[in-house]
Amino acid sequence: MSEPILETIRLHKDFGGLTAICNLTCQIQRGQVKAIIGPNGAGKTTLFNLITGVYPPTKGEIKFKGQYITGLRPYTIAYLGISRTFQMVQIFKNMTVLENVMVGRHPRTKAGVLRSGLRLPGFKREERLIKEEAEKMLAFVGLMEKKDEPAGNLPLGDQKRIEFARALATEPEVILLDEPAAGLNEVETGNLSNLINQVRDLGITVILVEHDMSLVMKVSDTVLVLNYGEKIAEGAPDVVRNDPEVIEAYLGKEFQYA
Amino acid sequence: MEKFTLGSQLLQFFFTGLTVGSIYALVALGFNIIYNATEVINFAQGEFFMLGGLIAVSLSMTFGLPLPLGFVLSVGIVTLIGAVFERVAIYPLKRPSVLTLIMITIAASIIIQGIAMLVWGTDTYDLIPFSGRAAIRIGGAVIQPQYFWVLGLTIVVVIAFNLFFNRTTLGKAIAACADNPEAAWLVGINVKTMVLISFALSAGIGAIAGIVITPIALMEFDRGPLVAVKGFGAVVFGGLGSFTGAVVAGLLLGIIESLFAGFVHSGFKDAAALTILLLILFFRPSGLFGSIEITKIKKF
Amino acid sequence: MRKDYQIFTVFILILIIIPILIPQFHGTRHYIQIMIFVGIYSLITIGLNLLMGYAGQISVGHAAFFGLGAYTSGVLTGRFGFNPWLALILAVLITLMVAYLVGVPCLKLHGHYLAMATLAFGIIIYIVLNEWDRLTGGPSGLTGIPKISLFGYQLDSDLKYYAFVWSIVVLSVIFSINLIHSRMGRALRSVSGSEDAAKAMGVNTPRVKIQVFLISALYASIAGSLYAHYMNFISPSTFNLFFSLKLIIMVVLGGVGSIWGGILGALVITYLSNEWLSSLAEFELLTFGVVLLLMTIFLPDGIFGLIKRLGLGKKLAFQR
Repeated sequence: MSEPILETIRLHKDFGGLTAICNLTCQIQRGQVKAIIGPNGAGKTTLFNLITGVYPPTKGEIKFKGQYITGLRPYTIAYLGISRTFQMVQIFKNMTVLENVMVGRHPRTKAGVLRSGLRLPGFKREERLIKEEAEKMLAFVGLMEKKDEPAGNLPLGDQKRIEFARALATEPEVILLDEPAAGLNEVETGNLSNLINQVRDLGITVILVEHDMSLVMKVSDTVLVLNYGEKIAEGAPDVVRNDPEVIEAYLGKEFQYA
Repeated sequence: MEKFTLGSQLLQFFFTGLTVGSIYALVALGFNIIYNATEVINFAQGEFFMLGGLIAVSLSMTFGLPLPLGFVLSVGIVTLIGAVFERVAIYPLKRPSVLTLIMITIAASIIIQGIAMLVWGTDTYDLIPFSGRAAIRIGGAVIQPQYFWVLGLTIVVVIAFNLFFNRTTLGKAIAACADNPEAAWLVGINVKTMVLISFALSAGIGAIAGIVITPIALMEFDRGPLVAVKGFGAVVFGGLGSFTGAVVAGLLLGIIESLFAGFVHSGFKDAAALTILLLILFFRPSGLFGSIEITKIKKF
Repeated sequence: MRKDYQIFTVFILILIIIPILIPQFHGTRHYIQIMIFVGIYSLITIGLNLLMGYAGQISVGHAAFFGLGAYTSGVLTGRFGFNPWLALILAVLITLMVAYLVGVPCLKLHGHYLAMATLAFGIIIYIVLNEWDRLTGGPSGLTGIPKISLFGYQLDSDLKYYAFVWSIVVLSVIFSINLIHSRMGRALRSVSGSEDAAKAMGVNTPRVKIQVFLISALYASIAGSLYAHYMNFISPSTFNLFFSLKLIIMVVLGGVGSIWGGILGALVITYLSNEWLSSLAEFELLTFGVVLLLMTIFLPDGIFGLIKRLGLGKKLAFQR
């Protein structure tokens, strides 16, 4: 078994008196699609926030490609190769669709204040490359015709695609999708499932938090189940789905839709 | 002989600091009342302070009203102004952004100052002390009786507010609004009225502070902003939203400022007070009575 | 970007036409003088706009940097006989140092806290300028500030100073527009769009915020030096809280998030102060307060925001 691309080691997060993540140890293998499921409040988004450095853990470590990334800032972690989308869409409403995705190129480009302000040599070329790469990502998610629209004007489904393209533009090795199917209809969810498969084919590791069980069953290689911040099951989707503890945690409700 | 002088100096500065600090405490209370009901920081808070003082001056000096009447009327008028301010500038806003709120309260502050300047000019005004200027000697310090009025009134206000917010239904209703306006509305509390009342109360407190300090420190049209910033400093120092914190912090701030003025350099005392505000904002924005946990979670 | 080039060309033309056209009217000197002030204030508002409009931060104490620039230049040249250009560079360095020291902790704050912190900072600098009278001359001000010359060429007429000031403004406009339409510009705007998402996309938001803060302090400092060498006399009352608020009103009036708006705002407010209200100085405070209130309620995007919305070019959704 090769080294996991991402792993948490006895990861623990307390918020005052509330324990959000309890002693969580898990590994994610490179190239996998891993789903993280669990009832509301189980700590799924907290886990994402810990991995991406939004806040530091109370205890425990996180390793990425064998390196400790615990306590690093979100922008450093993005630079290292972990990218994400948000549960509540956080696109830049004050910019166009294309500009949103161009921001995703930030960690892979260099031009600073002086080079940009004075238009020093090399600037134009980098700008052109940024634009090309961003347009590639937009084409990948199918939003090219709307590239010059103000991002805030687009419907939710499209906004989620912008976030996806933006996260991909950072050239991540691991991408974290936080409830990407929330608010999407069946057609859009189908498109999403295709996109996730295509991303996996590109060699990018995908971790997704989801409530939509049919999507989870379709795209995931392995599933991790959280309840009250603790791992209660981990394994192949079919195995996990039949685990009695998992069913109990959900009270059987959502698994009816699987 | 030396020790005696130092001791009496300390006592003097302590009393001055306590007096000045009471003003900061009252202004800070005003900030907190509005914040607790609406999460708004009212940049115009200092103007109620200024108006209280100047209106009292006009009522008693120009119109010759007896001081107690002038006091009550002035507080009443400024309270009304606070209510009008809320209806005109705050009430019509639909889900305002933080920036919009800042701009509106700053604009209100400038407008009120502008009107004050037209009415009273740039002169400095004095008010007759409530019980004369015969200085009282306490352990070598010389204290004007007005100082005790300031301290006394502050204690009265603090106790009254404590009772109001903890014991009366209305007071608890206002506190509920800050915590969760929707839940408050659901249980039948008229949130909009609570907001109105909190602005009115806040204006009233500001006015009391302004009136009671004018016999000591005089008053002019542009005194508002500096007092407001220092009052805000007390708010942050004591922990945003905490009444006890505001009072303790206000007094502390006043004492530190007074000691600085006495022993270091009086010209820079305001700069010193403001530096304290900055330091708190930088290192412990949750304040004395706030927990460190809050510092980590809340976005300041 | 192309629209900016068009406006830029018109802008340059207007700048050149003004001094040619104005001699036809009375009081030439007076209007050129006002335009010099407009230029100096524009320099500040351009920087402030980058901070407020693009990076979404607020500074209620920017008069402090204007004052630091003016006083450093004034003291070094007026009292110690420094060369004005050397003094200007030193003024910039000192202002940037102060801006960095104050900016790093301040910019960790948001909303009301940031506003109050910058307000407090502005007042502190004002008090220092007022009280440190051995260095600054105190409330009565600092006299005897020499003029500045350009490579030996004496800037001894208002017209020459007008050209000098506006050349610097033009350069800063070019720099700023270049900055906006670049990777750094997008990084700036991403901070005001969503700071969390910006961080997740690799934008070092604290560093970006401090960079734009320093740029805005730089512009203000240069403006201060230009002011000192023009007036040959400065006093702390120029750099008070009300001036910081005036700067914000200029930015809001012109349109937060528009470089051209900053210049327009500077123009309107300066004219308001010096021309239309000159006989009614007591109404200045009230007028400006009303202007700010009306702008915030009815025209939060400012004049340029209105022009944009009326469809002269692309419709851009402004985040508020």
